[in-house]
Amino acid sequence: MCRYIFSLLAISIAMQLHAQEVAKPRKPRIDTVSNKYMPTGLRIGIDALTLIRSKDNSFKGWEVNFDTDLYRYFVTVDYGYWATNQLLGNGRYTNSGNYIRFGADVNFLLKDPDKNMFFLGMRYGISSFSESVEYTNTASYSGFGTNSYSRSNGSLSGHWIEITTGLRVKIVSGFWMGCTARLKFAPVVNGFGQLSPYDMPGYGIVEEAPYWGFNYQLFWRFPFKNK
Amino acid sequence: MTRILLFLMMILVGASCFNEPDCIVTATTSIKMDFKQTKTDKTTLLKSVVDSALILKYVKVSGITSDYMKDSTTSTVTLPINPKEKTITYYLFRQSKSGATTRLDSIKFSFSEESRVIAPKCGAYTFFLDLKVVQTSFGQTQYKITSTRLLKNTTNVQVYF
Repeated sequence: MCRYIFSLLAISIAMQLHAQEVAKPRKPRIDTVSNKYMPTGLRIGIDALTLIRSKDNSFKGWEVNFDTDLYRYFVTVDYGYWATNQLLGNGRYTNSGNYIRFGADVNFLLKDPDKNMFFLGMRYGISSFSESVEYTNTASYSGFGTNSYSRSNGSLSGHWIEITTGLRVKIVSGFWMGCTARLKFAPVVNGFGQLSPYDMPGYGIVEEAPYWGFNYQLFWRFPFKNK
Repeated sequence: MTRILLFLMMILVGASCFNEPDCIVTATTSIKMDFKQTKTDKTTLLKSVVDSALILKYVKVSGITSDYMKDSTTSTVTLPINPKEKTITYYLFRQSKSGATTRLDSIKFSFSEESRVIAPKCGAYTFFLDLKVVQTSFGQTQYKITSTRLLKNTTNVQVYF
């Protein structure tokens, strides 16, 4: 019995050696993922909606956007300024400050030759701003009269999170247009005194969560040179 | 692509409604006090808290020279605060139901304030909060602060008799 087993083993080894000699040499495998996470260009954009809104006297602002591709992912950074001067029913509210958002988008139109995008993403926003309000209130007992208040928060900082979705559509070579819808939530503001924070640049009304935001963007793409 | 665009359009239209601020002003410059009584059921011996109507001969408020209330039988009073001050004192002169005895009680409150913009159309309002009793003729177990924020239709203090 042992001889048979030994013989079968010897035959099978011999066959395998023969097979290796006959088999065609395999082509070397090409690593198709080694370079796909290398960014191919930088897209710089502006928010047209913020610029259009700035024509109104109650709002001044601008926003610039940067993104770069890493395969189907885009690393994004937005930087902006906004200031409001709002007439209230019983006074006036003003604020101004800068904000930065950074995060990533996932492109679902990966095979589009024009690098058009339909994306979902997330952002983390940070804002640094100041605000003030002047208003009058009448006491419930008329004998206590009307009171004028002037309150301000000199140096506030805040942060929030966003879920984003939107489109980027190539219009002509090197130029894209797009829109981004933002669902903003979890706003936190630090450093306030007797004035409860109202409008955080980059976020909006602090007491409203979630809060929606939109950008209509114009992008110019600058491809990186291949070495 | 058309479906995606339609979806985004729906989000844009819908979102404009979401950001419409609500114009609900809950701030008030009054403290609401409820008068309560602890009653024991004779058969079950269970204790319960019920409203207690007091005969108030007058109520005075610091900063107001005349009587704020006079000859009133009530189980709740809503008394004003002076927004220019940090404290307010109320004097309650009450009479027993038989009319045989009278008693003057006082209670002094302190509070802080916070400004809030509700919405551009509504305006900004001062909210009074951190309500505390700083001095009173009532015993320590005779009153209970139920809400430290001065809000419309909210009882701030329960006083037990």
